[in-house]
Amino acid sequence: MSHLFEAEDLIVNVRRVGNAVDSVNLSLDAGEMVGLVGESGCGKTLTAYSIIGLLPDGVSASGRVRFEGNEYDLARPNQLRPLRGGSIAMVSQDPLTAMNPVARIGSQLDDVMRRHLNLNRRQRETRVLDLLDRVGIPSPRRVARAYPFELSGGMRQRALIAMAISCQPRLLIADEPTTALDSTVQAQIMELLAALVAEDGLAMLLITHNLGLVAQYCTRMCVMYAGEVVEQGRSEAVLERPAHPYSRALVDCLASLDADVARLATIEGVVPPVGSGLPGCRYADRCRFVQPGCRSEHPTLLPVRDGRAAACLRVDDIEREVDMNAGMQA
Amino acid sequence: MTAPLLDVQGVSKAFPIRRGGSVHALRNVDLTIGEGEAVGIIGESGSGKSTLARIVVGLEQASAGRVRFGDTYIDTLRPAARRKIQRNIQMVFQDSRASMNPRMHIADIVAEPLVTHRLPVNRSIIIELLERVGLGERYANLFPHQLSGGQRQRAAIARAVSVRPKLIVADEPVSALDISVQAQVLNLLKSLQEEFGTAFLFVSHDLGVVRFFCDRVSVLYLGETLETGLTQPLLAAPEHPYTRALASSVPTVRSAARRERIVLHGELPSPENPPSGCSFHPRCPERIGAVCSTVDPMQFRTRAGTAKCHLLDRRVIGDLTT
Amino acid sequence: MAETTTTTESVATTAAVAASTAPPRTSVIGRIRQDWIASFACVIVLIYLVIAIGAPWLSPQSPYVQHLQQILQGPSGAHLLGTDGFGRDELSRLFVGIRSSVAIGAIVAGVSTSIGLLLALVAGYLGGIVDFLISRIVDVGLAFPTLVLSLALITAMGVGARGTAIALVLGFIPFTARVLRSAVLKVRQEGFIESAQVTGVHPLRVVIRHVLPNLVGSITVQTTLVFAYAILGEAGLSYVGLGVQAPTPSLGNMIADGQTQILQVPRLTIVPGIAVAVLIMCLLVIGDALRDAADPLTVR
Repeated sequence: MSHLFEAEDLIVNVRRVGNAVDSVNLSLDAGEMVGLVGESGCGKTLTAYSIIGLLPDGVSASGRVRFEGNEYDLARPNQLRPLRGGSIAMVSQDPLTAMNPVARIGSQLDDVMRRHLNLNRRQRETRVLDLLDRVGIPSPRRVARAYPFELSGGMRQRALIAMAISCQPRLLIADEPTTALDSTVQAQIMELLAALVAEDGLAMLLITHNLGLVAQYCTRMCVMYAGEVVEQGRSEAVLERPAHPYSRALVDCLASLDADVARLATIEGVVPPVGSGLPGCRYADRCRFVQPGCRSEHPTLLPVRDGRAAACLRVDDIEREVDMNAGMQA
Repeated sequence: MTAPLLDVQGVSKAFPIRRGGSVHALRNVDLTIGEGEAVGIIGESGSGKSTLARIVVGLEQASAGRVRFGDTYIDTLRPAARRKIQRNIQMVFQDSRASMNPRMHIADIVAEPLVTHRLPVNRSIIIELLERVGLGERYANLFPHQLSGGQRQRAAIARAVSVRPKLIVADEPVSALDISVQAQVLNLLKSLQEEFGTAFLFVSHDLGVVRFFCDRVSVLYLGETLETGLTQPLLAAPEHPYTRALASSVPTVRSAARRERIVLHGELPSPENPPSGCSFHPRCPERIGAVCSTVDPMQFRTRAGTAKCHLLDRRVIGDLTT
Repeated sequence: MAETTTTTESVATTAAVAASTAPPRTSVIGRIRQDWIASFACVIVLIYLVIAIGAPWLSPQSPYVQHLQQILQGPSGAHLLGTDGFGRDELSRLFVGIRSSVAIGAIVAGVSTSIGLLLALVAGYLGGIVDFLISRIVDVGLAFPTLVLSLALITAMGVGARGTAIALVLGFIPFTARVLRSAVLKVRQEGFIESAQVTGVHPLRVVIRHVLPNLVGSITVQTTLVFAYAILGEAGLSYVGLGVQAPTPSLGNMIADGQTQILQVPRLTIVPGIAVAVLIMCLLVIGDALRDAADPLTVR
């Protein structure tokens, strides 16, 4: 079966430094929210920007994207331009920098629609209000006339989402959409995004460092580490019993904040810098299950239980060990 | 009971604004911290939690109310005396990079409180401090921008503990860090707290972080304390509807720990003219009626501490049921 | 579209974070060296400085001794730049002229930046009523046309190098004070100043340890620019006869002297004119380069 969106062998190269994203494969179907998680510097944001063909100078991408039956070459960002803002939209972390500070919300929405949709002025005007209403803005008329700085962070993020969905995209990329927001507002925005996915059949790629959001809203997830996907699968399965030692450690870090513990679980060490050229597993230096073989042989993403895939040479050993420990404790 | 280490008594803070009127960042807030106790302040942006921290360390002046440290009222001290007191009140900022002079070496940054308060300082003392926070000697001669966020925050912690203060005010000390690094820094703070018996005023928006670190917690909303109490019971079973919503809005990884989600409607009202009655009533999912929008609730005892909500007032509930 | 186009900047930072092996931040001098125009300007200015300092020894002849039988000679082996209307060696006069101009420029730049800095620190750090008073006085100073002010001051203090220097210093203080005050205000807002205050650091020490070192960039830029404009100011005042007085040459009065014979011997005007123009241009280029190099936003 073919997916709505597929990226194959996605590589993002930072000139003179190395590959910040290495051989990543991603797929999304309509009506699903997929989480792309990892710590800062793991390449998740660059992955997203390479998909829409917006990379800064000195950074280039390669790989193939299949979207709605067409194929695109990521090495030619211009091919992707017609999709951007139309069929593929983006919501970024900081709406204040993503918006034009001196244009009213309504006219910014209007601008976007004028470019991608064939509507007359009257129709666009109605649609602006409909969209603002759709994203849960209580007084659309007032907000349409407002400037971005006059709105609260949550309202701005809603307006940005309105802008993103204005041209009926099929794929929405949300890059840390709620990181700058308070937790009660974060919950509101996530509910809104989840509703868009469920009701309008959007496919959404949620880029976040917040595993909790993924657990609550995403059907599937990819865990990235040092530019590579190290584990992917149904988010419930990945989070309840992570297969890769890195996802396991991440989940432990977070879960210990929910439990009453004297010390939190941590991951010692740091992410290897881009272009380190490690021949083996990039997580080896921080991994508590590391064996000599891990440093020489590079693990590939292979299927493990529950329809998941993990890139670890010792997946089975670790599984057995953990089961044994669990058995001993019981 | 002996006098608390820090006693914040009915502190209010109003910032005048340009077009007249003022923003009420804090309204009649009480807070005590005992020796060696870690107290958390939870709130969303605009709740006044950072303002409270800044008043305690002297970066802001309270508009009303008193702040006592030990047996001294520190809010009215003259600058020289206040600077002397600061030996016992240090701070860890959220943005470690901004809080360090970019032109100073880490060693000099860590040494500054010692130099300021004329305490013995030499290279080995600094190295020892750096090692205590998990940084080696090789960091001593680096500049702040050469460290990662986590390493810088460790250095900031070394700076704060260098003079062995009685109180450390930590304003969102880990919220800029990645989850794995966050855990490392929190573990470090906890072990230092146990080792030196330092009291903490710990400001955070993250309930998990506060749960791990704090003995007691105060929940701030629109500059008011809505609920206070011992961390464990308070977060396990919040009695104020706002705390309940806040606790439920934190997404958790394990399905077992998940609570029913309460999504609040609307946003924080403008602190310029806070709502009448209970300040939370416009967003409260458990509002019981006119009393919420007209009468300012009193503080009621709860299992964990106190909460400021009409739901806890037997009289009001009684009126409703009859 | 709005949300996609303006986010490239954040990608750039992400890329920088991703590339955590980013090249170490080079020093200001290192970055100037990457800019070849600025490097070239530095070399030229250095040559000027060498001439200014070494003029008494470098001058092939006395710039003052008149040889009335050798007036207005063209360039030759004996007089590389020829002679002026009094038969004095033009090259020697140029060297000493550069010396006077550079000396006045340097003194004015040094003194006005120092006083401006002091005012800026007091106003910017103390704030409140002190800041208000200093700022208003500075505004009054800025509102006066500098040239008129200088003319008035020189008339009051008498013409000559000393009067010129004092007039220019007073003329430039408002500019330096204003620019440096805003620099102080910017540094003042930095988190590390608050951090020092919480630590209990004495305000004077905060200024010396935390504010001043972070002003070095602004101070250097400001000094360079004032240096350039002061030389220009000196040239202007000497040109109208209020500055450096004959027989001492300065670039300004050399242009004025040469001007009487500009049609017959244009060289006497053109050479000092070019000397002033090149020096000012180089200083401004250096000033701009320093500003760019000191500004972390332009990190490449």
